Amino acid sequence: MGYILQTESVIKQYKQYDAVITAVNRVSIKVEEGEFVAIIGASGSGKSTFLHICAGLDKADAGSVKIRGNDITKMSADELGRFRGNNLGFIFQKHNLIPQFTALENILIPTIMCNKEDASYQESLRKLVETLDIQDRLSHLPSELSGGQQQRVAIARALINMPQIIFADEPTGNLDRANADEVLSLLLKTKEVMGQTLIMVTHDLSIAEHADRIFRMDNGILSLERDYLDPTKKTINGY
Amino acid sequence: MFFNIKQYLCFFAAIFIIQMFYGLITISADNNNAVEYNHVTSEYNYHMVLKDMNASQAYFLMNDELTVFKSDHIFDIVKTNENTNYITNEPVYDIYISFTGDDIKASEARFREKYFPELQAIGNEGQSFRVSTTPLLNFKDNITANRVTYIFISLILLAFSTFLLMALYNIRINHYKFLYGIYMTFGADFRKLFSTAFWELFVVSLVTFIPATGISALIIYLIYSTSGFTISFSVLSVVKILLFSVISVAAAVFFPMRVMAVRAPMGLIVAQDNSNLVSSPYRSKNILGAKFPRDYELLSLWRFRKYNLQLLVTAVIFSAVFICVLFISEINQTDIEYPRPQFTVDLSKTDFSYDDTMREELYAIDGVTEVWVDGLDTTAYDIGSHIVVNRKNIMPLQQFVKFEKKDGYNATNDVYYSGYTRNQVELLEKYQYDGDLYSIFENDKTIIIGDSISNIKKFNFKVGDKIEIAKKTGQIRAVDFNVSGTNLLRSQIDYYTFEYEEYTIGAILKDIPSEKMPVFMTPEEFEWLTGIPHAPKKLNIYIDQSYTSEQVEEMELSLRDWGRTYGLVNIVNHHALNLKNIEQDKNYTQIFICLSVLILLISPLAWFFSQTLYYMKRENEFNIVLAMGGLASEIKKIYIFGGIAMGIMSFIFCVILSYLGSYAMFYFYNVSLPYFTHEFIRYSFYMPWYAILTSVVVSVSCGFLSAYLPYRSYIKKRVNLEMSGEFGVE
Repeated sequence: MGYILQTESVIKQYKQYDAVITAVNRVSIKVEEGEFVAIIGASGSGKSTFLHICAGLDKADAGSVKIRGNDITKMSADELGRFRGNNLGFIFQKHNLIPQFTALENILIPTIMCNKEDASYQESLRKLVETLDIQDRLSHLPSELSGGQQQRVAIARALINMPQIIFADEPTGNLDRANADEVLSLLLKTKEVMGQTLIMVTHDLSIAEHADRIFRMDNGILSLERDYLDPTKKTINGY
Repeated sequence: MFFNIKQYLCFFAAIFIIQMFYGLITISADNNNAVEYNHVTSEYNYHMVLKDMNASQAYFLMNDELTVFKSDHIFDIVKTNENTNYITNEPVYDIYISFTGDDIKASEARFREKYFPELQAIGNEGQSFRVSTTPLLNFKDNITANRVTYIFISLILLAFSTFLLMALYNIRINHYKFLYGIYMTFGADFRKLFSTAFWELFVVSLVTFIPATGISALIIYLIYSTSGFTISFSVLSVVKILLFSVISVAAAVFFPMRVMAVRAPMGLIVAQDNSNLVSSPYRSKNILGAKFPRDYELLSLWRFRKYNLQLLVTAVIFSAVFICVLFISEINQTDIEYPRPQFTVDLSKTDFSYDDTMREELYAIDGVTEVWVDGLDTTAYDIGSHIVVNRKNIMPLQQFVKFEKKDGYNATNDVYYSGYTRNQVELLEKYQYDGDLYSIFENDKTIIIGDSISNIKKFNFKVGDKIEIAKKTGQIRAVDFNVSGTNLLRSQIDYYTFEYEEYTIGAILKDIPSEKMPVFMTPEEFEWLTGIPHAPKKLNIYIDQSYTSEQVEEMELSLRDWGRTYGLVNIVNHHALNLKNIEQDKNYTQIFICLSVLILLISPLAWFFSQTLYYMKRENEFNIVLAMGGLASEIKKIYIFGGIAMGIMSFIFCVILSYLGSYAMFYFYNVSLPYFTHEFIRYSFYMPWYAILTSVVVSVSCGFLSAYLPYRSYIKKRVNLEMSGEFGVE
């Protein structure tokens, strides 16, 4: 069976003054297409770092990351850039919208970076802004939007190129409960409509419970917390 | 770009300056060809002069006896002068020739090949005619040389302007890492990053192109009009200026983007957060203690040390380059004004040598200012000699061969010996010297020396100090001539036998240009040391630099007339005055000054662009400090303290970099370049006070103001926020 994401013994270490900190320690995971995987864990446990490595936003010190069989750790910087733009979507906890750009301009960044023809994304743009209910906020600057609206714009930006896999780094971390639930339902809705794989880092258990599988990251080591698709696999370390 | 025009102002200014660099160089290069052409055509209408021909040779040429068909015709005779050889009393002729055809050099080559053997054949026994050419013949070569110079200078400017733009673009990249991180997260590769960066600067260069070119043309017009030349302006120049600026822009963004493209996007995105940390956890304790804000800002200077160092080097380097280019302009002017012989006189085919009578006759010719004997110098290397010097007379850090036979002494053969008469010594008075130049005629064992080798002072002699000169008397065994330099001298000292003669230094020449250390002595001592009789046969004639070309031509005729009284005297006109006037009218000195001023203008760009962005990013930090109980007056002190610190550091950097840069230029021109040009011109090393002052004032005021002005903008912003109720009032 083909996996959309497959990592093998990923290691990431940081040097802080004289100490070496292992943020990600020999992590291996296999994710199937269309699956929703949640990674939970305490702050500083390495879950965001692992997500960044899976999305090709950070470099692993060792190990491999394969997306649809393509080992992104072996790609050149340019190949990886193009691959990210066409196949992966990323949602940051802090939105990371460009403050000088309007909401629409922020959403369209991936289309510009990947040289998409205008016509090719018009339909998905219309659907996205309708689904995310931001059609009347498109000409606003990020500073003129609420936290929830900013996160919706960030979701639209991650989805505009219709990536196969979405990486979300605590997308509801900065939102209140109502907004957090709304963003989650939007993500699940778009995932459903577009058939994408969703890998989310969160420390909100009520959000993680919507996932097909929940992993826990503890001091850089990943372990399976719960498998809703196969409850017998609960708390089995590894895959 | 349109909506962020403030952010791009610095690039508009920088590219405008760069285009002016190219504009000045390109338009002046075009006009320099015209300057050269005007000079040579106004002064010469012939390519070659065949001198002292006998009647048969002159008749042969005047009748052009080798031309049968029209296509054979390759020269015209412009004029003929008839003179008398005072030794033989026979008439001699000078024939002035102008070559015909499109390719003058080819015609000249054909002429030499075809006519010279015939002319030699009908010459008198043991007597030949002499040939000299004019700059008109070499005009095309000079144009090619001008083009090569233009390309060379353009390449230097290309490298420099690329560095400038790259420095500014790096500042921009450094402050916009987050933006690039987001672009890369969503698919931007190198091509995308590069094309975006290139197009934005290309648009800037299109906007600035016409005004920059126009102002360059105006400056060139003003510079050249003082020399009486009308300037021309070709379409090709416009294309070249545009092309160069586009290449600079492309090269300037290529490398930073190449580096950016291989970085992990997450590292770029988090750089935004890191830059807003009040301090690293490691150093943050007591940061708001009693010495806030002074110690706080000191820590901040350390915290952003990489940025501060980069800024200081980048911004101050332009002030230093300003001084260096001014220094080059002074060197260029010294080079133009450096006295070069107009004529050389060769007596080697006569029985005469230069003496006091000849000297009087030559000085009697109008316009002759100096007559120097040439070709009588002998290097110590050539005669297996060396000098022995007390180590205390050697400047620190100088390496010479240790003289084993005498403790505390060193030996060198980087010396040349010259025998000078009283009249010749008189010419040395134009140099700076200590002691009595004429003391060598009062005591045989007294010498005049220069204290430099390769134009750099190597010795620390005082008048009255002694040196020993070794005269080779024999040889114990053969020296391996595969060795050279100091190893050869060591072998010579070991394997030769010498007679050492002690000499007292009577005078020290301080600024005489020299590849080797000069030692002047009486002709008798020179003959004893070298075994070469003191019979000067070659003379360099220097002339009054205010003479017109007609006067120089008259001088040449007078000199040749004088020469004929001694028989076969060869007099060569080096056209030095003409070449000097051409160089003067090329106005490189003035253009270098313009370039230096433009370079200085770049420094404020780097300061203000970088510091504005830097303090803009720190505004959040100051807001936090205010929220934590800091006072507005303390924030002001942070800005002012930062400004003063940068001002002081820029002063130090400016002086150090300017000194190093100028000394590097001095060393290059004084020591390195002569090995290629074989012309030792002595340039003095000094840093013009007005340039230093300007540079320091610019650096220090930019260092301070680039911190203080962002403070005013911060306060204005804060007041607006307070009025709108979005910011808590302290």
